Order: sequence, then C-alpha cells, then structure tokens
Amino acid sequence: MNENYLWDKSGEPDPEIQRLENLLSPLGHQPDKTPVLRIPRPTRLPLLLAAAASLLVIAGALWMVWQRSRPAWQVATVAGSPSVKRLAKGQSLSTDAQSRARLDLDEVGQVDVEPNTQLSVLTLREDEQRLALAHGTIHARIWAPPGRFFVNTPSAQTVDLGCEYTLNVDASGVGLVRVSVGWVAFENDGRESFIPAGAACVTRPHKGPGIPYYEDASQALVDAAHHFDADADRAAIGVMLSEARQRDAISLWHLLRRVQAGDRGPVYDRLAELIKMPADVTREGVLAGNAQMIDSVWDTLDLGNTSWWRMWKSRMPK
Amino acid sequence: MESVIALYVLADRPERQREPSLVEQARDGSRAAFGQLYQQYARMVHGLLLARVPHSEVDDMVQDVFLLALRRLTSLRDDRAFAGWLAQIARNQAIDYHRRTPQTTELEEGMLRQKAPEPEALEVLDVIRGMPDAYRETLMLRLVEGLSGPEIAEKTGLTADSVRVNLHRGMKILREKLEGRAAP
Repeated sequence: MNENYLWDKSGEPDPEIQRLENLLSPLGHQPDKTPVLRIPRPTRLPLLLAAAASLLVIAGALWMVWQRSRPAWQVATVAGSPSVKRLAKGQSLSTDAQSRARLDLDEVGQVDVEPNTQLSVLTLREDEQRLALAHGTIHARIWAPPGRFFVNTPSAQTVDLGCEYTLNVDASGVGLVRVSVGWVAFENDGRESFIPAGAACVTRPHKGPGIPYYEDASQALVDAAHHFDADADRAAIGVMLSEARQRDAISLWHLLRRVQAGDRGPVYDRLAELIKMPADVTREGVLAGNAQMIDSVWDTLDLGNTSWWRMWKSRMPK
Repeated sequence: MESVIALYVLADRPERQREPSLVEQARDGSRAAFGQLYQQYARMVHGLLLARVPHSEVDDMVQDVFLLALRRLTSLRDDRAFAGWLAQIARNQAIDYHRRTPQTTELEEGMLRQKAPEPEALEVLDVIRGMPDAYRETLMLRLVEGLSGPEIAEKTGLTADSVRVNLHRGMKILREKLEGRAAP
C-alpha cells in the first residue's frame, strides 16, 4: 500500500485505493447536484417572542433570574425519571436501576449517564468543566478544546482533551476506561498508561494505572494483565508473553516498564519477536531502563510518538 | 491523583484561525458567513452521515444538520470548537434517524431521478459502515468525499497522527474484508 498516496494523495497512486476512489466518489457530496442550502429568513415573530420573554424575565424574581442565568448542563431523560432538568455547579444527579440520562453542553460535549450512577458538577466555567463520578458509569463524547473537561472519581481525575470513552467506577473505587475514539492516557505520579481506541485500562486506588490491553486480546492475556496490576504477580508475566499477538505489543511495552529489572529480559525478547526494534535500541540499554530507548520502542508501534502522547502534560491545570 | 487524558487535539492551523470570525459573523446573522461555513464543512458532514444512514437520505440530512447548527449557533461559546460541535450534530442526527425510522432494506429512491450507484459501490459502502466509528468515518471522508488526510484532520478537529493511524488501519481492515468477500 502506498502510504503517501493514502495520506495526502502524493506520490505514485496506489491502484487499489484509486479504484476505490473512482468507485465511491460518485456517492460523495456533489455541490453541483445538491440543493443550495436554504437558510430561512428571520421573521419578526421570534423577535417579538424574545422581547416578551425578556419582559417576563425582568418582571420575575431576582433569584429566578440568577438561577436561570447560571450555566448548566442540560439534562435529558433517556429512561426512568432523573429528578433534574438542569445541572448547575453544586448540583447532583442520581439515576436508579431504571433511569438513564443524557447531559448536554453545546461547546463541551455529551455525557450519557447509565443506571445506578451518581454524578455531580464541581465546576462549570468557560475554561473548566469538572464533574465528579462517585460511582456508576458514564459515556463521554467530548469535542471541547483541550484541557477543559474533567471527571473526578474516588481514585482518579479524568482530564479530557476531546474524544469518546466510557468510564466506570465500582463501589471500591476501581476505575475502568474503554476508549472508542481518540486516545486516552492514564497518569499518576509519573506512571503512564497510553490507551488507544479499541483498548481498555483499569486504574486501582493506591496502585495507579494498570496495563492497557486491546479488547480483542485473548482472555488469558487480559486476566494476566489484571493479576499483574493487582498483585504484581510474576506468574502473569509468562502468560502475557505467550498470549501476546503483534497488536498486543502495546501491552508488553507497558509491562516492560513495570516489571522488576530482572524480569525485563524475557519481556524485551518477546517484544523483539513481535516488532522490529529500532536501530538506536539495544537489549542492554532497555534492560538497564534507558528511558530514551524504551520511548524509541514505543515509537515503532505505529501509534504516534511518545512526545505527542505526553503533550497533555503541558496542558494540565497547575 | 491519577489522570486520564484523551488526546484528540485541536491543532492551530491558519485556516482554523479564520473560523472564529466566520462563526461569529454567522452567529450575528450573516447568511453569507454561514454559507461559507457550509461550503467548508458540507463534505465532512456528508461523509459522517454517509457512514451511518442510507445514501438516499444523506443530502436532505446535510441540510438538516446545517439548519440545526444555525439555530443552535448562539449556544456555541467557543468558536474553535465549531468543527467538532458540527460533527457531533451530524452524528446525533444519524442516531435520531435510526430511532425514528424502522430498519428496512435500503431502496435507493434517488435511483429514480439520477444515475444509479454502482452495486459494487453500495457493497463497499456497507463494508465500511460495518467498521468501528474511527475507521469508517475516516475512510468515508478519504475514499468517498475525496478529502486528504490533512484535510480530514482540519475538518474534524482530530490530530493528524490520529487520522494517519485510522486511515492506515482502516484501509488494512477494508482490504482484508473485501478480499474475504471476493474469495469463493
């Protein structure tokens, strides 16, 4: 496949891609065949209604004006009966076993609140929207500019720079993030987990982010990753090495940084079987914990380079 | 305190820097400015819709998306979020379409008034629609709407790296699926 042609149509056209382009382009947007956008002309009626509404507001009680003018997430009931329609700073939303709700804030995104979830608004400013998820599940689709949307949980702070993911917090404070669009990173005191779309990662109180894994990885690999996260179980290392496919190199890369120095050798060797090691990386360097070489290994995984992944650090609130 | 950071960054680009004034003008009632936004983003909206709803419905829904965006534009406080905000309106319209429309086999009504799409094209479209969101949207914008990778990044607010990975992986999966269908 000609990567340059696929990316920006430069270089020698890839015959298969070109064939698909020719086949599919008639189905695309055809400006000359599409009706001109019909933008309705404004009428006086909305203006009159707006003026009347303004008069009513002015005539209303001051507290009502203040209450209504506060920015708030709009709450739509999807099922059951969540008790609020707007969620302003300091307010909470609880769903029971039959209830679901959708929170909407135009310039930020949408948050679907699943049953048995407790969520509250900590901050609602133009430059920072912060929710607190005590327990339950939310599904967030965020298109806000970077570094504005946060979710606090009992064991983690979620900082979103815009993507789509599901976050669950159980009764013990264990969090699970599953990413469907974009990329997510867990970070705690310098411990990093990078999670691409299609992958998931657990974070545990007092232990921090775990080893991410693709959700189509074998169950044995997933179980082993969980055992290693929870108990630093050395037996789990062997299982992960034997179960890993080429795509699971991402899990082994994280494992490489978490195992004791004496266990790095087998992890490196298995990684070297799955991916082509860069020329500037040596086995001795990686086993000695050379961070630059370990980053260089990541850069071969075709998931963007490490400096890109870490750009969020400059955007974190002080 | 642990942190989850989603990386899907609005990069600063020259064309993007012009958007605030267009969005602002459109918000103030400039039909010309909104028309320019339509010109810039119609292909992106068309591609996102085509990834989710029948081809025959897409043209009308593109109009609906832009008219809805026009009505809600006053609630958009950060002009830089316009692309992502518009894309999400398109996705939501597609979801609403499936909520209100009984699931039926697609009959291309458009065939009556225009040249019928190639059957193979509709088959390939179905294959792309069956892929995960990240791949189907990117492939639809690249192969159907004719946008390049950098243009997709610019129109959707995704990073160039994100688009590059989605294109590469999506194309690989598409090839495998098409080869699987071709095999006896």
